[in-house]
Amino acid sequence: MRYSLFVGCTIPNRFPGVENSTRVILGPDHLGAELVEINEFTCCPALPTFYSTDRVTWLVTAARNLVLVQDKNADLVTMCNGCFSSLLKATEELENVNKCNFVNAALASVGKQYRGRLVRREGNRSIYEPVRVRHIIEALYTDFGREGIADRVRHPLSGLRIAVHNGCHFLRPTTRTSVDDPAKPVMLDTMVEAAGATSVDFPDKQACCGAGGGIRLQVPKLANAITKDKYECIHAAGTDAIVTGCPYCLYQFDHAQKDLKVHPIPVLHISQLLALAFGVDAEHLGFEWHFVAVRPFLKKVDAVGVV
Amino acid sequence: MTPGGAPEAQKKRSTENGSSDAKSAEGGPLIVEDSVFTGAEHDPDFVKQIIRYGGKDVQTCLQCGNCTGVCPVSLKTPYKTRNLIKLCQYGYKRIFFTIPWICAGCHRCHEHCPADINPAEVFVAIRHIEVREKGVPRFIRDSTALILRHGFGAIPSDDIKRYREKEGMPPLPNTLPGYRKVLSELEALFRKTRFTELIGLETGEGAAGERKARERGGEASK
Ligand code: SF4
Ligand code: SF4
Repeated sequence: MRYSLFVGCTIPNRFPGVENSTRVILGPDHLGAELVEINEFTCCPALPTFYSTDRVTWLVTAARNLVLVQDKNADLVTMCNGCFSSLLKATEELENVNKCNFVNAALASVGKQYRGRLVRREGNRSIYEPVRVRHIIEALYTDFGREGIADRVRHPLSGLRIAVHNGCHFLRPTTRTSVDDPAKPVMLDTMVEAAGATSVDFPDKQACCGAGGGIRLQVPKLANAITKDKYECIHAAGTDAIVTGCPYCLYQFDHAQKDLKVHPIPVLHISQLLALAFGVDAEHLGFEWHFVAVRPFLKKVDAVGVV
Repeated sequence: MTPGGAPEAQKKRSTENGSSDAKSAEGGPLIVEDSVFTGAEHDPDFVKQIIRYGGKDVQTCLQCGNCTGVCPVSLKTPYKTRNLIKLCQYGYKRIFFTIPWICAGCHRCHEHCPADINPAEVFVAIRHIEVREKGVPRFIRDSTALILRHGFGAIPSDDIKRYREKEGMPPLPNTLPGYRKVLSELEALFRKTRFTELIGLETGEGAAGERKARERGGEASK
């Protein structure tokens, strides 16, 4: 497994623990994936800002990021639904020859060209495929599977009840592709169960967090009103934590709970949850940047763990 | 008059949250089913413009309302997706320039649309038109300015930098000296696509400009 982690904007600046947990669980002590570091990435770029105002600039900027990976023989892996959606959508649009040529005309001014990833040569023809853009949940689910993850668990989270939040852009990253079934997704739930915890059911389980598309930035009250309905369902189901694969959903659930002054339910990224289950000490996982204190959850983790 | 059964309570809750939040959120006119609009807001080319900026032909919308039914924003605000598409059909362009950008882009509407309209993409097209005809919302200018200056939409705090060091994580790319080349590439591309001009991004301001962007930054720079 060769991955190039695309960490984006939100993770390193708001939840650095998400990046660290991902590096630790994929690293040599645990899943043993090979990480290819790329130091020239920029913002994916964010769909609400770029795709909404100028599709051309969005595609050119996304293509520039994809070019950096195309010759590395690695899959680009994101831990953010926003980056996932933006970059995957870009690979789809770049399959259109006219768009690709247009983008390459712009990229030529900075000495770059998007071709995609070389799969094989037939005579003197080279066959390329789009750069593989993947979400960490899907990568863990497909490349390691429930067994592969469960094998690494040293501290099973048995008895803990988790509400999973997939997030819209994991379920519907582009109009063409879905990696999990948007109506009945299984990947995130499976990862939570592989960690030994229980993924609980609650009404309207796939509802939106409310933050996306710039809503959080512009009309935080509306974002919180959307979150509130989902929070109430989660709270009524009796859960110890909310687990998501997106730092922006994490941010929204975390912040909204503070704004709404509700009974706090800790919010974790799936990488952080798996790191705990793999036995990584919580002090490395950056929980100090979460708004809702994670400590009550960590106490329960300590109590249930059979080391 | 009916005793408060579950569906009734549910309905009440959404309406309460909905109208109060939407009003306090932006204070603009409410769009409701029976609003009357005058010819002043009308633009006969709106439908074509939406197509030019990548949206589908809104005239093929069946007005079935599936999109409204699944839309998290329609549930909480007076802006019902089906009504908005109807306003597009009628060419009421200027009304959109008074509505904040509150589509989450969740694509639930598209999933349930029998006419394959994808309202989310229609709203993207309308944002393109608004940016070109009315101006760029401040939060867009601020976040793009940050990206142009730092490569990313936010700047890590000192305690985050210390945490990275302590944990032995690789340094953030945009803290490395070589990243200057990346920023100049980004600037060259933004100029090439005329994005700098479109958004009104001043470049090459140095530290003073950076401070200004930070002060204005709101959530984007926190
Ligand atoms: S779901 Fe599609 S056809 Fe139905 S009202 Fe919405 S946009 Fe129109
Ligand atoms: S994409 Fe926008 S319009 Fe469609 S359901 Fe989601 S928030 Fe509503």
